[in-house]
Amino acid sequence: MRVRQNRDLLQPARSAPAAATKRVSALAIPAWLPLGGLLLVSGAETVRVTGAHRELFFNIDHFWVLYLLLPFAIGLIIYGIARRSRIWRLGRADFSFDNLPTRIARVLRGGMGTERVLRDPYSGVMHLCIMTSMIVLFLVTALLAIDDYIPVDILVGPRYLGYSLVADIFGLIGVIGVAMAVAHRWVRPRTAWLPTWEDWFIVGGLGVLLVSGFFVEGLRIQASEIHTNPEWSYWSPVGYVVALIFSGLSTAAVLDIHKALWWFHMIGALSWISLLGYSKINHLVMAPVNAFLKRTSAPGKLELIENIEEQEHFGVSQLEHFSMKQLFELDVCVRCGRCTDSCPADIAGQPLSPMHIIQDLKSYATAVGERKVTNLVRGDEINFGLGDAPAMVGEVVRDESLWACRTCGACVEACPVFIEHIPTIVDMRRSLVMEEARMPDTVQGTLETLERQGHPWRGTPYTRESWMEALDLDPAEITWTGEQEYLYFVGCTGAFVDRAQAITRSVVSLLREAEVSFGILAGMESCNGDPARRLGHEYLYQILAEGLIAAFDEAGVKKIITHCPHCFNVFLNEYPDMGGHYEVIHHTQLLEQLLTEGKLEPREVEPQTITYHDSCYLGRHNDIFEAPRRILEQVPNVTLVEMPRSREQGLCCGAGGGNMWMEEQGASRVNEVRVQEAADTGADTACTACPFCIQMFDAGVGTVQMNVEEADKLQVLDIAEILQTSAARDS
Amino acid sequence: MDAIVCVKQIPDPETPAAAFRVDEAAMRVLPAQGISPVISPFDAQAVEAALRLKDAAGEGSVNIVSLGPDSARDAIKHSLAMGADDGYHLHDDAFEGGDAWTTALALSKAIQHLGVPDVILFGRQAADWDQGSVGSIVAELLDLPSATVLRAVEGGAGSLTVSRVVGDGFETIEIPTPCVLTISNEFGDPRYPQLRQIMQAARKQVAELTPADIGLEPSQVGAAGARLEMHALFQPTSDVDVEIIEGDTPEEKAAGLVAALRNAKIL
Repeated sequence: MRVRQNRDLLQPARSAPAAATKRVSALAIPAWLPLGGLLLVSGAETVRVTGAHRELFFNIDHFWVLYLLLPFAIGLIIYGIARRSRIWRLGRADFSFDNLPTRIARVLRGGMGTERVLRDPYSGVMHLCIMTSMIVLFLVTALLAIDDYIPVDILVGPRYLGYSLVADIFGLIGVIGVAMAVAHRWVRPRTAWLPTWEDWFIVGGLGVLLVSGFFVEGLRIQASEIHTNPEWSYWSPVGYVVALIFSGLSTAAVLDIHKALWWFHMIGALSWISLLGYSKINHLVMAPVNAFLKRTSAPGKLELIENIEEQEHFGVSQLEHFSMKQLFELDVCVRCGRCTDSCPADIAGQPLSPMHIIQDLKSYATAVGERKVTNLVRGDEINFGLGDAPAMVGEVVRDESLWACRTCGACVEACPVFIEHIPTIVDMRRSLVMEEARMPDTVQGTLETLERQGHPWRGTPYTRESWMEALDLDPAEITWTGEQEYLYFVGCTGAFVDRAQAITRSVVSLLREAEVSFGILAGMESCNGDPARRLGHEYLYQILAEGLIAAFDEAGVKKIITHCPHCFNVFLNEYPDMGGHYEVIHHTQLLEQLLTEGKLEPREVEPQTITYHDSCYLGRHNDIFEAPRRILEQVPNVTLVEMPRSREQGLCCGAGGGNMWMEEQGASRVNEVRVQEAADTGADTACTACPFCIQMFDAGVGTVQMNVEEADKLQVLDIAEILQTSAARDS
Repeated sequence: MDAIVCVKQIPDPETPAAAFRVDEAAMRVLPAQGISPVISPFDAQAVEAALRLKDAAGEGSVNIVSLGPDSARDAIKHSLAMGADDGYHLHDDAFEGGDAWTTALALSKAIQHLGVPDVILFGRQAADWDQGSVGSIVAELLDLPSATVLRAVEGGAGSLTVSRVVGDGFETIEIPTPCVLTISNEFGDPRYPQLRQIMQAARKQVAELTPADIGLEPSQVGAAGARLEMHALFQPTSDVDVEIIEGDTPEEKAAGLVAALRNAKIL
């Protein structure tokens, strides 16, 4: 086949004066960008091929109307976003742009690369189909436009035919994606999904547009190409098949249908894309933006309230107390439900769904935020006339939901659009505790114990030295002198809780065996404030942290060992904000290092299968997944098995976020769910590296395996205990 | 509805037994390391009762009086953070080493100095020495009616309906104001202060009162005026013997337990 170049034949079809077209084109070019793929299909369809070419606006009169509609659609989008941005701007401006390379990498991988969406194969493929289809169809149309506007012809001959094929294939991929999205609703719906018109309109609309695009193409082919250059039409396979459907109709009828459908398609596409300013389609733009805005610190880190004594409010009880980023995030949420599906509280049937918190706040921002904006625009007090509005904390988001949060970060890890739920939830807790003093009795008791006794374990019969009594050594041998390399921070749980004292002793034995230079503060230790902070009492946290930092600095502490991931997290990620800079190492990291250096020698244990449970504050919040596993792999006779939810997707034990000291409300307990998962692996032992997880597992085994023979029950051990048994066997 | 609540600062009763030490020679309780003294829990409940009376009446004042060392100011501040209006601290070297009598005398004089309100509240007893006598002595010294060990207080100026905890139940009585009331733990938990109130309380001045301010001679208060004499202070030792009752069946174990209890003359 000889493909001719015949640019001239294109010209007569243009009805508008060339100069005017150029001018409008100049305006129209940026409009192609957000218009995405749809317009593109339609643009592509309306070209008649002459010399493997097609004519723009084939069969269409008054196509200049399109050029009027384009800026109108863009205007609608900009207006929608600009209007919504007034609500975002009610918040505090505290953006951070630190670690630019990390942020940019996240935009590329997580934002544009949709890394997190791809974790779930079905949704991942579905989303990828729709996304690539829109991107390719957008490029296809952009290319067509470029080809039209530049003097050199690119899309001619074989290039044009290949181009037609690519456009058709990706149109088809888009249809497959839409079909998968629709089927998703029946095949494997997520529990958290809300039935909304918005979802159906977006997905259904997209489907209708893609299909109508193929019809427009098919009709064009039927009216022209199939008769003049049938071999070209094979390069638009879907369009060709559609064309065959209409082979029985007269050319006049085909042209009429084509014209009607073209306008339907075009106006539909513009309407659909205009929803970018008004619906969750906005995630096309806002998800990558949010990927950029997400903090680069540890996901569980809480932000310091500076000059707390001078604040007018504590925490967040009004929209305007949030940061702009927190308000922006509400609008990025696409209600996909991944957060809720991975939330330990929701899994256990407790009254918390992160998605609903974000969605409820979003609805509240729409209803109340608009009125606040209006008040400010009018120069009124921000809450003028809002006396009857529901309380954001308490009514829109219920107290029990805020308390049920474990701050485990599963939601933050799962969110494909990078929403950070933890700071938002804890900010509202801060208001409950500090502003209103409204909290469960158990929380109040814990805070009072922290205030008075400097630890959260109300009613403990022990002192900070009690655990040493069972050790065969003189306490002076391990007392901090200022000469040792490391301070071993035992922590409140390691000292005051029976079960955890055994972990403390194991760590001490191992450190002594490996001849690590370390000391303990014993009675000079006090709580580092972490429980107060997670429970929302930032002020108490700051008092406790200041006290401990002063004690550390006076004692000349530089390096700290902890066996508690919560202590580890607060020292590593949060103390620097308070002026406390230390080298912090978790016992899993140190023990692995000692094994590698040959200072500890793993020896045999009873042959057993072990499943390792990731503590949230060690794993998800601080990325320590491999050190404990590498330790266990080195212990002879140990077979390691994984629970289905592990590492980044690990399920919380239920104790995080201060829930160690609260009564759980709901259908079941988180620790029981998790213990069941551990038991289901068939493991003999559940190993973890957190004194809270240990207690939660022990309690869970008591109920989940109530009827299991004592010898067959899951054994719950800290990694230090396993290693100590292993290392001490022959000695 | 005006109220005065007398509060005492004590070593935290939640202090673990292992951390509790006394200096037998000096006959003093040694403060436990790292554990701050607190307002006596019954007294915090008395503050709560006063605040609820004031809230119910819709007007009035709740003032706090405490006798004690420097640190006792914290107990007053805690009460102010809960919502009390003003604090008065009986603070002078001369007050030290007193007993229930000198404390009650000083408190009654301070109350007269401030003006006798509608109601004067105490905790049923200080949770350290547990004597439970200061409230009643103050009532006697001021010649006011009193009701002790209360689990509920209702009403306004003129007359109050109160519910006493007695050995075999509750006793509901009416008492005219002004009167002295002592509040028991059955009253319910005291409120947790809001941070704003804690900060406001921190900024509030607590007036200090000396014996001279309330019309007493130093010889009448503290160790000089005390009528009780302490002879010894020591930690009792308690030995715990544990016997595990063996048996193959629950019935056998129960029978063994009954036999052991009979032997010990418990049954």
